[in-house]
Amino acid sequence: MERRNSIAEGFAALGQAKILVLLLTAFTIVFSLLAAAPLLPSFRDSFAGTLAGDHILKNDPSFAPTDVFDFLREKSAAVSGARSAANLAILIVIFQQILFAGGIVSVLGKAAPVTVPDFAAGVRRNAWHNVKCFLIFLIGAGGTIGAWFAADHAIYKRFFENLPPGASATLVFRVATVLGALLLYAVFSLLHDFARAARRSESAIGAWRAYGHARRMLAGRWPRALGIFLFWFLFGGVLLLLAVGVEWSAPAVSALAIALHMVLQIAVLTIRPAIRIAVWGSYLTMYDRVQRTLAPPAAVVTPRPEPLSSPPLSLDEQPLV
Amino acid sequence: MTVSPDDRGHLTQLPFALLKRAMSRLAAVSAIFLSAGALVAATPISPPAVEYTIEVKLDPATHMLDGQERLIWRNPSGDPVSELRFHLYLNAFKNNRSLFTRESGGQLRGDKAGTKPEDWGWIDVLSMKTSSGSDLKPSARFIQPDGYPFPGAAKEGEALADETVLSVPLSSPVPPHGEIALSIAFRARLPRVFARTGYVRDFHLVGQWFPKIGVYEPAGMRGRAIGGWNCHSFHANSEFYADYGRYDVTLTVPASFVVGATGKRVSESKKGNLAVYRYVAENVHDFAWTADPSFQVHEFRFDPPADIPPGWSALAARQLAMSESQIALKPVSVRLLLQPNHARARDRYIGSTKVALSFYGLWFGAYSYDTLTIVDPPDDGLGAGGMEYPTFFTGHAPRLLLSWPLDRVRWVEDVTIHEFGHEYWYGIVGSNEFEESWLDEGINTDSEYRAMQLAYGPRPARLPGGLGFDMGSFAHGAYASLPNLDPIRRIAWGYSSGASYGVNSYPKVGLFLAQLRHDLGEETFARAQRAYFQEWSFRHPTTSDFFDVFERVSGRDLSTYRRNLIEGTARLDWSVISSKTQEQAKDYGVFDRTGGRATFEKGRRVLPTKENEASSVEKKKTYESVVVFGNRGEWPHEARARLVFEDGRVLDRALPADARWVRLRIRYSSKLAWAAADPDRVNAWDWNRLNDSRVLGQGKGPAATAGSRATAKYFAETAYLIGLLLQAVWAAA
Repeated sequence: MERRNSIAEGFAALGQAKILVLLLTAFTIVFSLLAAAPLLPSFRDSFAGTLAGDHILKNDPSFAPTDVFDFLREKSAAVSGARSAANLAILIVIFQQILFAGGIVSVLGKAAPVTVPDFAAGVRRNAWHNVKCFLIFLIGAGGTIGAWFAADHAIYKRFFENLPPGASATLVFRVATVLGALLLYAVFSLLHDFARAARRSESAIGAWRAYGHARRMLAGRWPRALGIFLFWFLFGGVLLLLAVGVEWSAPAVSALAIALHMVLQIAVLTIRPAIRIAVWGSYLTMYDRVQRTLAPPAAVVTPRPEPLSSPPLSLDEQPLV
Repeated sequence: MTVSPDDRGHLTQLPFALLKRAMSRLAAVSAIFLSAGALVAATPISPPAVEYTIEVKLDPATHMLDGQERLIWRNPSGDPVSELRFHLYLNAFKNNRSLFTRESGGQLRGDKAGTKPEDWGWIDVLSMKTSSGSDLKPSARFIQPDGYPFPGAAKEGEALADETVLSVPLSSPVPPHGEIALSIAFRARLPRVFARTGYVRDFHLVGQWFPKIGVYEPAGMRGRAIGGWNCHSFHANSEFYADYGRYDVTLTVPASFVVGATGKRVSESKKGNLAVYRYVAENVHDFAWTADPSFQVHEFRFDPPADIPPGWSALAARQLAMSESQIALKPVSVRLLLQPNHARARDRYIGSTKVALSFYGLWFGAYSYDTLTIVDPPDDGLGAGGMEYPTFFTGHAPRLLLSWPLDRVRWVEDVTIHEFGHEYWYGIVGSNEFEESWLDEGINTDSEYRAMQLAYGPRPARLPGGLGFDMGSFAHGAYASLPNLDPIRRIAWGYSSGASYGVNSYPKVGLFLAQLRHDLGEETFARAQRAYFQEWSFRHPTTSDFFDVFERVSGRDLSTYRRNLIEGTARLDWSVISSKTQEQAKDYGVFDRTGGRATFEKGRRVLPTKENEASSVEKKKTYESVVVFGNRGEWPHEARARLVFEDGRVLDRALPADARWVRLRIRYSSKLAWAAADPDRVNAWDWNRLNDSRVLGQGKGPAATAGSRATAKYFAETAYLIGLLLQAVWAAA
């Protein structure tokens, strides 16, 4: 019941945090354009300046492939430049995600509407915490999944290497390996996200303690948490694959069709941010509910009103200097 | 197995010596026939130069072969021959000091050699007795006829590092045109599959497995000044060369094993839990076989009336200027040995084999044998795939390429057609692959490209989303990707790199032949290539023989092709060096015209009177377009230049072969939209297509290009793909 609610809350988060979806999409587009920029002069020179662009756009059966091969060879420096820029963008995007998580856990699922200033304040407040959480995740997940694959390799060499290709035992083993790795990734990913979410309830909690807190929160609730992870993994994956397939197969030759194609590309790039926000919405809903059960509300104590001014100190009460 | 007559040829049995003499005059005789428009098929040499009778037993547990070989070798020359030379190919896999291992670095054709004790292979000659009973083995020694350019070749007390050629001195020479009979006992171990041969689990591909005598070339044969052995070491970048002969091979294997082999199975019997198969093959120059208990056998028959694709016979007949009955084919029995988990490849093997039998048969001549065996190696034995032997070849069907989205890359079809093609350019025409690999691999690559495109359309290899490429583009991409250091014709291990051997032996020849086909015309080329095949069937041609036939049939001097494209590294690269189009400056200054002297200022008449100003203004704009075309390459060859103006007018001009550059200056009422050299891309040899054209403007009709839209679209597409990548990385954070 709660899982369905969490997933429904994930969808609800999309309505609440459209601004965050747009922000994530905008960052993706900016970084992508910057990474692709080294190729722009080469595209202009080769595609607009020669007949190659005409051949490729119209998919000429025998001219277009040669033009593509020649472009990749003649403009290899520009292609390398774009590749290097994309590699750099990957590092920046990882850092961006680390920072954005701090803002997301601060504003999502709260009664107040999501605003950019509140989001930015969350980013600032949780930045260092999230960097430390990421390093713990990287070491933990990297080490565990690496060990998993190393063990898999050793088992394969020992028991499966000499089986004929296509043997069902090998297939089962391979599928189990992948599923196991996915499960390990899901576990670490949930711990990572819940450790970052810990800042919702304890604004000064450290990274290591946050992981402990996350582990306690998920204890006994792993099936539910993994179910949420699996739902969004499958739902988002299928949605994204379908959208990518539609974009890939959409022909675009006329200027109008190319413009529409670009709109379609932007729409596809919006899916992943939307799924990310929805996942956070589900996790934070679960977090908030569990947090309430872990820390029952304290008795309401009406504080004794402070006197407006302290009584004057007696001579006996003079502070020591 | 019998060799059937070709469409025009007849089997004849001539005395051996007489035929040898006739061979040397074959070209001249053929020329007489060809001048009358006939194509004369060469006939096999009889009696053959070699006759092998081999009995061999396979132990699948140890992958050992125990064999007894009886060899009759006939001296084809007028020289007394006092030494025999044998290939012991399996010794290439004996250790890390063989020439093959050193040259390949243990990696070849995408495959990696194993280094465990059970991975190595070798062959030992146990004895080699003459008919008189004397054993030649004690005096035999390994030699390195091609040298051994690696340090540490010979340590004291050890054999030299490479043991792939065995020299056997004879106490009494084999007399001119005489013969010698030998009885050879040998023991061999197959390597774990690597470089065409070996085992993996129970799959055995047994190639290059027996002591095989080299080719003694008499003076005059293949351009030799004096007679001598042509018996090279086994190199990484080389395949094979051998004499035609008769093979009678008896194979003993466990009864559960399915066997396939070169030639025709003439008998089979059971001995306990063993099975004995006897195969006979005539007029072939090698023998290979396979054994695997898991093979699924699919037998089918190539039936020409039903299996030749519609229209192919008529097309071939038209190009060859022959009748369809003259190029009629005959049935062939085909045996496909398929891995059980490759069921999806079955119909693809069968379909492409029929395509290959049709194409090669119609255009070059009917397949000379009755049988064909196709072996499908397992996924972990693909190193044995994609290899040819007479009447027997291995396919290549990785499971990844059998299913969506890669199934329409048509890899299985491509490899099948290519390997079958070797039955023609390696099997029936006995090219020397050590020394002139292009005559087999290259010519066959061109044949494969043509068959693929005829059967599967202009883009035989396709990916989802409309992506795909034609074979010529692939060849051009490979050619232009290398620094162009080597000519096509070079000894196989003499290229600057393995990649250079690959490009020069395969796709670059495809480009050369596409260029030659365009320049000679489709029909002339087809007739010349058929003549070459027919004349050199069951013989060993050279590059000179190829050009001799083509020059004779075409009536043209092709020395520029041979000198620049085959023996040299000359490139052709017609390109647009510079281009501009601008409004022509209006007349200004003083002009003496029929009505008297007139003075113009910016196109306006200012003197002697102002009355005629209105009528004197030059109303019609004219534009001057200047384009410089240049051949940046070294090979002088003609091309066509095309200028297209914004009003849609098209102007074609010839760029002559002897011109290094050509400047075209056109005054016309419209701006130049684009200019291109070789706009129809008929010069397959052109090095760089990207510099062939220059777009200056936009217009209607042929002037309407879409380059700007392409720039926008593909820049956006690139950014989009990077965006997807970046979002995928989010999983890490």
